[in-house]
Parts: sequence; C-alpha cells; structure tokens
Amino acid sequence: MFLTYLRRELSQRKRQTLLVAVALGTSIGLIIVVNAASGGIGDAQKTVLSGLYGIGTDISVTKNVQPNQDGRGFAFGPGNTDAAGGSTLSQTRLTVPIFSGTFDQQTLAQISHTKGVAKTAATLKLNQITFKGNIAAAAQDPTAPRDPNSQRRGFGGGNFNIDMTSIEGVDTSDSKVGPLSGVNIDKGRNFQASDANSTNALIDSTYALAQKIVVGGVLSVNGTDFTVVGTVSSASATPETSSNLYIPLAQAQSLSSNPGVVTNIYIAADSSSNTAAVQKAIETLVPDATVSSQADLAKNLSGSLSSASSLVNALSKWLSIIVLLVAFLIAILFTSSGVTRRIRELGTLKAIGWKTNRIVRQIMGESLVTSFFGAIIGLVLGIAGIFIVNAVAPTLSASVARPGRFGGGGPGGAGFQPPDGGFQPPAGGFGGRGTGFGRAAANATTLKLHIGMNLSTLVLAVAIAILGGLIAGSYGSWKASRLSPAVALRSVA
Amino acid sequence: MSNTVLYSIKDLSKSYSQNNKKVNALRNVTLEINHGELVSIQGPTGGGKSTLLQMLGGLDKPSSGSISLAGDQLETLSEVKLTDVRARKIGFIFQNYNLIPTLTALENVQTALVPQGVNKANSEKRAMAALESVSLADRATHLPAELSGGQQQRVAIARALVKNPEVILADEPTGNLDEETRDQIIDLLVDLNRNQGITVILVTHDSSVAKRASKNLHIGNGVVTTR
Repeated sequence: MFLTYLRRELSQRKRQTLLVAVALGTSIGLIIVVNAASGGIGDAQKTVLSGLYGIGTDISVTKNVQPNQDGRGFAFGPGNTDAAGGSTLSQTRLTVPIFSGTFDQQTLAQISHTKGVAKTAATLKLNQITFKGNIAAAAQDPTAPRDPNSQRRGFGGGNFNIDMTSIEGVDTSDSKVGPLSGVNIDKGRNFQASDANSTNALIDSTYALAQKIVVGGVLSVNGTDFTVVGTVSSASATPETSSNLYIPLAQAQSLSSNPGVVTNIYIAADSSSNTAAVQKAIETLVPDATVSSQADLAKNLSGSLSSASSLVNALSKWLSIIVLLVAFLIAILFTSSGVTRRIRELGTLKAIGWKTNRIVRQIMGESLVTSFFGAIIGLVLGIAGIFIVNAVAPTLSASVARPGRFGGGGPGGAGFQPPDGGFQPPAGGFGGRGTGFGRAAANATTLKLHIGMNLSTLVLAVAIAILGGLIAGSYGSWKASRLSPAVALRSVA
Repeated sequence: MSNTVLYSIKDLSKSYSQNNKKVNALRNVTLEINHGELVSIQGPTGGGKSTLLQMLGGLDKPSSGSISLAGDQLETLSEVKLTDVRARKIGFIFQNYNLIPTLTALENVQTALVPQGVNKANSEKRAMAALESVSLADRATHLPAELSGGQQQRVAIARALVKNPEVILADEPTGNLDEETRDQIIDLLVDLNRNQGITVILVTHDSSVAKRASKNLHIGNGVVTTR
C-alpha cells in the first residue's frame, strides 16, 4: 500500500510534484553549472599562473632591493681606445638582476624548517649581459653638447649590440616545486640529480628558436660552455618560461661569484589550507622579503578571466545559497500546504487506525521521491549547462605581471628602447652605472573556458536535493504527526 | 441480537475551551449499548452528538468518567493503544465519505486493512468481497471522483466493514445524499445490523432513519436521554 499510495499521490498531484521537482532541479542544475564554471575558471587561472609560478608551488619568496644596492648595476669596464678616441668593448657580465635581493643558506634552512612547509626549491636568477661594439669619443664625454634632435647628451655616435640572457640556477634533483614544475620538455630530457655539478643546461624553446640553438648545442655562460640537454616550454597558455636558460644551481652560484645564495625560494605547503599560515610565518621570519601565494598572484590577473573569476566566486557562494534556500522554501511550503490540504484524508487514515509513524513515513516517502526527481532534473540541467558552456567555449583574456625580459640590443644609436623595459641611459654617457631595466611587463594571453564535470559535485548536488526532500518531508510529517484525528475530522464537518 | 454489553459509559463528561469560555459538550452521560444494537443519536446542532461519537470511536478522550469498549477502558489507553483499538474494533462512516481521492475504490477499502498488516493478496481478496457486499465490485478500479455520492458512501461502508469491526460508527451518513440514495444506504446499514449482527451507531437528523433503530438516543446541551 505504501508504494501504491505514494505512486498515486505523486501521479494524481502531478502539478505539485512537478513544481517542487523543477524548483529543486533548477537550483541543483544551477549549482552544478556555477560550481563547474568556478572550477573551470580556477583551472584557467592555474594554467595562466603555473607558467610563472610552478604547478606544485604554493608560495614564492623573493626580495626587492634598490637598484644601486650591493654595488650591482649596469657597469662595464673601460674598453680598448681606437684611433678616433672611441672605445671598443666586448664584455659580458653575469649578475643578479638589478632589483633582486638574495637569501643566504641560513635563511633558506629556516624557511625549509618552518611549520607547514612540505618542500622548498631555491633558484638563483641571473642576467648575462653582453655588450659588444664601439662607443664614439663624444658619447663618453659628459660635457659634450646635447644632440639637438634627441636632447640627450652625447650618446649618438656608437655602434653596439647589447644581449641579455636570463639564466636561472635550479636544483637538478627535484623539479616538482619551482620554475621547472610548470614546464614541458619539448625535446631532449629534463635535469637529473647527476647534473648537479655538470655543465648541462635546459633552454626555453622560444629562446632556442630565436637563437637557433638545438639540443646538443653549446651556449656560453660567463665564459663556460654549457651543453643544451633539453628544450622547455611553459605548460600554461603562454609558451615562454620564466627564464631563457636553466643551469645547475651550484654552477650559477659559482659562475656569478654568489656562493651559497639564492634569489627565489619556492615553497609547497603540506596542505592547501595551511598556505596562509605558512605565508604569515615566513613573512615574520624574513620581514624584508616579498612572500607571495598563488592567491596573491591571482590578484594580479586582469582581463575577462579575472572578471569571470570574481563573478563566479561571488556567484558560486551566494547564488548557490540563495537558490537553495528558495528551492528548499518552495519544497517546504508545498509539502506543508499539501498536508494542510490533505488534513481530512490524513485525519481519516488516523481514525481508521493508521499509526502516526506510518503517515509520517508516507509523507517522507512522497517528499523524498519528489526530491529524487528534482535531483534527476538537476543533473540533466547541470550536465546540459556544462555541455552548452563548453560548446560555446567563451574566450577569456588574462593579463598578468611577470618578470621582464631584455632581448638584446640593436645597432647603437640615440633613443634605444628595449621591447618591454624602460631602459634609460644615464646622463653623462654610457660608461656609468645604468638603472631601470623593466621589472615587469603585462603578459596578455587568451584561452577558451572549458568546464569539467566533477563527480563529487554531482554527488553533492544529488545529496542536496535529497536533503531538501528530507527537510520538506520532515516539516510536513511534523505537521501531520501533530494532527488530532478528532480535530481533523471536525475541521471539515 | 446479543445482550452482552459492547459499550459501558459512566458519568462521561467532556468540556473544552472555546473563545475563553468553557463549553460542556457532554455532561455526566451514563449508558450502555449492547452488541448487535442499531442505535440512533439525534439532537440539535451543537448538542454534543459528534462529541459523543468521537468518544465512542476513541478519537478523543473524556474530561472525566469512563467508557469501555468490549473490555478496553478507552479513557486510560495511550494514543498508540487507542489507534490499535480503532484499527481492529471500529468502522467509521463519515457524512463526507472521506475517501482518499487518489486511490481507487478497491484501494480505499484496503486502507482499512493496512494497520492489521494483511498481505497484499489477502487484502485485495477481502476488499473485493467487501465491495461485492455493497454491490460495487464492478467499480473497484474507479477513483472516488468517478463515483456518485451514494456509491462513494457505499465504498466507505465497505471500508468500515472489511476489518470485521465490533461496531460501525456513522456520522450523518446520509446527510449529503438524495432521498432515494439515502434509503439505499440506510437499508444497507440495517441489513448489516440484522443479518451480520454488527452493532451500528449512527448520528442522524432524519427521524425516518431513527424509526428503524432499536435504540434512540437524544442529546441536547450535553445531556443524553433514551427514547
């Protein structure tokens, strides 16, 4: 009788059953799509950020310094003087980037032992700047008259090339954290632990193409030849990796005369929920360092990806709550009004001997089956929504600040302007210290939004629908259980 | 007709509060109803007829006094026990039929067997027999909305009958029926009483129905008198 009565109730009261099921189903479907979109946008963010940050990295630690601190800068020694009084230069410098500070071994060890830190990877970022060419005598004279066209003093008669290669010394034994965690090996192989003291190198595929270097080729770093064993590209939408060349950390420290120091520390927390606590602990430990998490980096994102992320993050929380509350309310109200409308029916059943728990079971059963229909409708709507979003595949643009590159100079002349920096030759000629390589550049990329179906979300959605049925059924049952048959029968007499 | 006592009621009173006023629906009612009697209860509206019927049916408890049904002291029983008494011993017939609108005639009759845990096959068989006894076997699969008022009341009678109750309590069973149908329903109840020995207690405004009863009770202002 339970099933017969249940089936008859639901089929005879189709409109109410359908309305409650559709209300629950719509909310469940919306939750599935919004959460899937949230996941898809999160994945898109990770894809964009991973190229800069490393896929397994939760926190990065760097240090900013003023340009002339530590005696670093853009300085070359005097060249050979030619017959016209000009200088002929061919010099290479391998230095830590102008704005980058360094960490010693002790700081690295302290960070490694901070509570919540699962793994660290340290790198030494270097710039190798090669200056080749001739600077005319006038260009070196700080008292020379200004060029009437450029208004710059001197600096007009040289003919030179400046090449800069960004080099990163990395731990060759483990690439799960750090810059190499977010790269693909295009050709050749990755580093191995045995490469620690070798002169093997990995090269960025884009840089390798520009420089026409292939696996097996040789590159000179501060006078030492390195053999390219592999080419790498970013796993993100932008193929370029964070440096042009990767060499073993010990070699980078030795060649740049920076024994035991590093510029970047990449950290994997033991749990994603610990990231904030670890970040705070390291900020306390190294107050002059810049400690950035994925979340901080994500804040630097701009473009439609960022807007979509903000929108979906807000939506996934509040929309889900509001829609669920409305759906639950509808289910409760309809179940409650159903009990009120059936007061004579339920009172009669009590009068003829139906126990209260049997009536409660009947109402709970009807409510649960209705919510089950709601769950099916929700799944269908949710999956259809995901398919539609993926079929439309909206294009999202993202722009994120990333370390600047300095690609190499052209022939000398006034008004040299590097592609993504802000190089300003100092007044008074080129022989002094330089300042102002661009620190960062906006790197724009686009990607198609793809949202995936998450089994746990689908299961959760069904569970929420059933929960809605349970709540509505419980309320209806509570009303029915309090029903006195005498009052119920009297109320319709 | 047996002379054994089915209902024994002593000093039964029921009062309740309505609009902050105490209403004495029943006042010190004392009476006995024997097995196999056909009892009519008449009286003015608001006189206490329905309240008395609810006491007899174990749907409500008295404020004072006692009421026993075939040995069960109804005023002392828990709600669960009272429900069990209603399930086994009492058949109800209501003025508005009170059928479950989404169930067929057969299924409506079967609802009375649910509390007794009768299996499906047996339940169907007994329900069909009950429908046959009220000449409605051919309407077994019809929904209440597809039946006339008289037919619906006959389904309600079948529902009351199917459990083989000690007593059938009918609250104005012909109140919503035309004269011809009313006579058919009363004939049916009288037939059940005379031929099957079922005790029937019915509340009615109709004096012609009361004339066919073996005992007539009149209730006014909560006081019962036998006529």
